[in-house]
Amino acid sequence: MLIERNPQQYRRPSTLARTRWARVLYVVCALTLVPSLFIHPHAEFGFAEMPAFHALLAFVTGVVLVLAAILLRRLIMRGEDYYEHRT
Amino acid sequence: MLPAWLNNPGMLLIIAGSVIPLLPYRLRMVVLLGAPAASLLWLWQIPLGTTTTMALLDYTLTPMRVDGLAFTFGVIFNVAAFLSGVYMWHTHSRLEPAAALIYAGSALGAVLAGDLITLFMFWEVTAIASALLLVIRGLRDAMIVARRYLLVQIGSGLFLMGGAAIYIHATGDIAFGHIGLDAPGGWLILLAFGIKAAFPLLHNWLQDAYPSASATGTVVLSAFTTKMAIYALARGYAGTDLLIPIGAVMTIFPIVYAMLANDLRRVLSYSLNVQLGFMVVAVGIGTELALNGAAAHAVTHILYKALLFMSIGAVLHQTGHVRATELGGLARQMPWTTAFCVIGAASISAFPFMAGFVSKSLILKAVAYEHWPGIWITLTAASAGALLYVGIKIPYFAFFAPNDQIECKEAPLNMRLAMGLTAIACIALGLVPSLLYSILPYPVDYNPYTASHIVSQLQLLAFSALVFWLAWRAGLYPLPKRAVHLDTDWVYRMLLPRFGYVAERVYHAVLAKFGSGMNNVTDRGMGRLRLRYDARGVMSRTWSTGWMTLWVAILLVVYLVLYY
Repeated sequence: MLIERNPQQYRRPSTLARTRWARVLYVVCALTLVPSLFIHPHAEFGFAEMPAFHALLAFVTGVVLVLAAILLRRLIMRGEDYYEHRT
Repeated sequence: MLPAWLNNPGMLLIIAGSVIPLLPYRLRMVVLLGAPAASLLWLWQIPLGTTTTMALLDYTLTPMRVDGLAFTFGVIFNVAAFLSGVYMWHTHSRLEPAAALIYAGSALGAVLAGDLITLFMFWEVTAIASALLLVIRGLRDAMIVARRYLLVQIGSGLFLMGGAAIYIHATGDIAFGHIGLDAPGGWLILLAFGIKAAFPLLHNWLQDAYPSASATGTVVLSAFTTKMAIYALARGYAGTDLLIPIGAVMTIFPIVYAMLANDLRRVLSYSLNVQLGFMVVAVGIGTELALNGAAAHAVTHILYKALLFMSIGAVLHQTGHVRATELGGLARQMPWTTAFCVIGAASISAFPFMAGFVSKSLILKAVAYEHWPGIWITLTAASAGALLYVGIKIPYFAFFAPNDQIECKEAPLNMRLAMGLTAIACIALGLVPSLLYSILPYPVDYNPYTASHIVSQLQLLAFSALVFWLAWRAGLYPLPKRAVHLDTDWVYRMLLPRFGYVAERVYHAVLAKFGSGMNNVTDRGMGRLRLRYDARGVMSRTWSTGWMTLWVAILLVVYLVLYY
């Protein structure tokens, strides 16, 4: 039994549940930022004492990684039977 | 009193593994679980600082040395052997438990080895036993992969042998202590360790082989070889600055591959590579705190990576599928497995109160103490990325993605039991870090649960989840596809065979051009070769044992005469 999935299947129009989870996520993100206004960070380096440093780092890293993955896929993706067709 | 070569918990596992195929099913299972438990108890009561010695030719071997570093790795190897034993309880294969125990025992033996010769012997046994785990599955593809895998592993062994021979010849010392790059043979030994530790460009055997083993085999494979290499690096190359950039690269580039991969066990193999990078950096830093971090991370990593491989293995076992494109929607049908997978994913993403959190922070602390800001940012970024390529990806595509085409049952009881025990261990080490810190090589004075640390970690996690969500909604997150993504294995799977093909064509073209003259020469040459090496040639006749012994004896005598 082989099931080929339609990529669109992952991107059905957002259901109610999904938007609810997204809202939870936004709230959690905001909540993690609040304490950094009160707690003085005992950071390892001066630059890391900036409030919300870790949030910024995570965000930038995530964006860079996603873009890198998109670009790399263009370069290195081959057909599934690539290695079976060798000479 | 046991002879010294036997007086070693590793040998206990190896012997147990060797007799296991001869036993009936129930007894087999008793040995499979009893041997690692006995070996753990044995190791636990050996006082730190104990060594055993034995004479071999001119050398004094140290088959067993128990000190802090060896103890930590020895303990977790036994625990891993026990947990994977529970996980493979249902198997009726005679060979798989045998290979697993011999593999675990040889890895334990290597960790306890006090000299380079003993290390080399156990190093090679791990290669063969682990290749056996691949072969057992019996699939044609797995056989081909096993051949490639064995080639790489034996290659590592040869480098170790060459390096050790040079080292021993030059220094006259066979003890396995700090080696360093300046020592004679130091580079060769580092290369041997680096292959097994999956250094960048030497890494691809891992992602090639681990996804091809059986559901149970991969769990066993994931624990030992690479962590044995980390131990060897920590023993021989602690404080070698070169390892710091190598490790940092290891923490980043496999992430992108893990995001692209479709086979979920390949995703996990790439993420294994990332985690090894953390340990390699720690070894490169080389302070007591850093080595504690490397050892602690090896312990927690073995647990949560085993847990993830177990949950995906359970999915494979129940559904026959392991690729993201074919999975999804299993959360209702396999609720236990789903919960355990989520715990593993939370641990690897270093959620507070999970195992990954308390070990990764030791390494980051050590990096900060030695003032490596660039490396510190790299590692922090890599741990933020964990959510993108494994923390969310694995549970989502296996259990939560929309898919109503798979019908299956929950995993067998023993698999759930193994996952449950491992999950409990992950949470326990996270909640009570002193459990973990008490078995580390050096005393630990560190509390990971400060308010600022927890807050910054939560920021890291929340915002990388945010990126995942935004990228997903924008249609930018690379969806799994049925495709091959080229990695360094392309060199030996495509480039070299192509090169060989072209060389053969050129040879034939030259032959055609210069015609019979050339042919005559080669034919005559081949004829002579055949005379000696053909099936009935002098070199390949079946000689009787007596003749062989005689010849060996003559050769030895000639060698002796020449020597004097």
